[in-house]
Amino acid sequence: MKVSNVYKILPLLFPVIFLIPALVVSFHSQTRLLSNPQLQQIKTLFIGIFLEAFPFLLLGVLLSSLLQILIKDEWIRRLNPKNPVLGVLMGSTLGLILPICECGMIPVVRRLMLKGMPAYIAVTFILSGPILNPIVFAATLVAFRSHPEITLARMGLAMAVSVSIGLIVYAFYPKNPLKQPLQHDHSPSEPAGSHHHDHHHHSTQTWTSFFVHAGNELIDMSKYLVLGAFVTACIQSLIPHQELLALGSGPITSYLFMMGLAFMLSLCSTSDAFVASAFMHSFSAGPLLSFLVLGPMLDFKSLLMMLGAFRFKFVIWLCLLLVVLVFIGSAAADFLIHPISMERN
Amino acid sequence: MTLAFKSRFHYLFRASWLAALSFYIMHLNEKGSLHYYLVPHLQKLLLLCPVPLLFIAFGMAWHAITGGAEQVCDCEHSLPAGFLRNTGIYGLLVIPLIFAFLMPDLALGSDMAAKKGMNYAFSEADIHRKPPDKTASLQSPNLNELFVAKDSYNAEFAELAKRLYLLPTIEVDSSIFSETIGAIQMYKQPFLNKKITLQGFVFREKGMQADLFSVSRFLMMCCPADATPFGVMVQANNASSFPNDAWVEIQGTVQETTMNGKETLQIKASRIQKINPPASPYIYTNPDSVAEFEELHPDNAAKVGNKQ
Repeated sequence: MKVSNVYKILPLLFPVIFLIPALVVSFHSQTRLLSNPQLQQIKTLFIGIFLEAFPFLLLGVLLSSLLQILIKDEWIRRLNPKNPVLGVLMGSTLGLILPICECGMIPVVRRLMLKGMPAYIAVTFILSGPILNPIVFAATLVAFRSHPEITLARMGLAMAVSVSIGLIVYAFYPKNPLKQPLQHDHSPSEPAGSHHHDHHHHSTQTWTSFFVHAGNELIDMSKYLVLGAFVTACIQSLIPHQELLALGSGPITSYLFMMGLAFMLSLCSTSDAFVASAFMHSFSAGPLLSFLVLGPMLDFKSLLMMLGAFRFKFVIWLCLLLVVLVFIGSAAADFLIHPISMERN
Repeated sequence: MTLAFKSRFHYLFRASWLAALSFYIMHLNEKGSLHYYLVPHLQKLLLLCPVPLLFIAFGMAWHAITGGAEQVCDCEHSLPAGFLRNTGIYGLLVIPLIFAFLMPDLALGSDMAAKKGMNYAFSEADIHRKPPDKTASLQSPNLNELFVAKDSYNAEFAELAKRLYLLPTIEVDSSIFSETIGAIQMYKQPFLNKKITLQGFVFREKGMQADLFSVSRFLMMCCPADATPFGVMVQANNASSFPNDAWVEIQGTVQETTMNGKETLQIKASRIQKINPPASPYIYTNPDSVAEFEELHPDNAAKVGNKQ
């Protein structure tokens, strides 16, 4: 039994967990620990983020367990398009029929990949799913009431970025990006002893093992959610936004600032448009777009979840590509949108 | 072959964690404290969780007690090995439960508002670019001329403004708080010197004058992480006698002021009263504020129809 690499990283991150509250407390050593207002804020934010994401995580895990039992590998294989362009387009619009937000995404996608969905389609889906769906479209439209072009640009840019990353993965990463091996190789030469258990699994599948399976996956993902929610809560309640804002005043730094903010805040994609609209007076459309597009694709808690499921190197390359593409894309969009909004006013 | 003792421990721990989480959710619901953490529609979603969680917990506990090794689905979830790793993972998982049960449930206050930065603009008041005909005088108010929606996206604000305008005193209701202030802010002129009543907590910016504070609420979209503080400036001679975070009810009139070079609303308070924090301290966006308004003021709706 191979111990997953995930567990090797965790002890390293672990001290951070204790370091942060310890630091907070030491600043206010006069007051009692449990009535510390700053710690109280952290609690409210932490529990809030955790409880907000948990139902989606549970939904994703249950869906993944159901897929495991109900969907046959051949079905997925048959659905896979031969043409990669068609494939990424399919991947990027999958969010319309499977509108799961980023928290429930990883378990479902991992299951689909184990069932034979190619990596490039899966990556496209992971990136576009949390943005290209009707719920997020409506939420963004409401947040930017009088600037519908922002909503359209958000959808368009999300599609462009996810499709290009899907194609890059198709062209340059033919390997399996998952940490666990794809055990569903149907080659007849497979040694009988090592990998066969999955096949007779279907016949002996009982409800107990369904729940055990779901529970294990839930715990597996929950630890990343807990860590992500906790660090996010600490960042939010310890660092004042206004002081940060001063950092992002230059033309290029404003993009970096908004992308960094999106990464650190780890907001749900249905509510981040609203937060972004508060920055409307400080920034032009480009940095706002970079916030709106990067945030759902890559933030602290989804990064941790991705690291749990995918190979380390793959995730790092994905992040770098994302930041670069979102930056280029939103800067280009800024260039295009600017004249339009000037005309409107 | 039966399950190893170590694995049994793992499964029992996992089962009890899931059960504890499920009980915590039910406990919050029973105390009526869910609103501190989630908006109403997500509360409903969260309340779907305890039952499946208990099923999973029961399944895992059952497996821990009776399970045989051959039944374990070890295709991907190898159990963590080593003392450090176990402490790391399970210690991490216990953190939310420690926070949950050891600390009280409290709403965000002025400290957080200062961190996030207070917002004073409830609506994009760029109506100024296309000013409505001010000569469509206030004496003979033709509502449709007075409140012109800039575009279809702001039609709701215009409709709400028409209705608010007819009230002798605008009572800002929590269920349409941001929409009401937004509508007033968007049109401003017709509302000047109108009586208004609203509730919120006291917040002060650094270096604010002694006779000023802002009466504030957090607007929540999903959870406290995205809660954004919104405030209305209040001017009162006895302002300094109300500390930050105190919940107050303000009665006063709508005025205009400039803040950081931007025009914004200010309420000149005639009476400030300390109140208990409301049952639901946060405010939410309302999908249809006009319908909500008509529900709150059923007799007012008819008047709008007549005057149109």
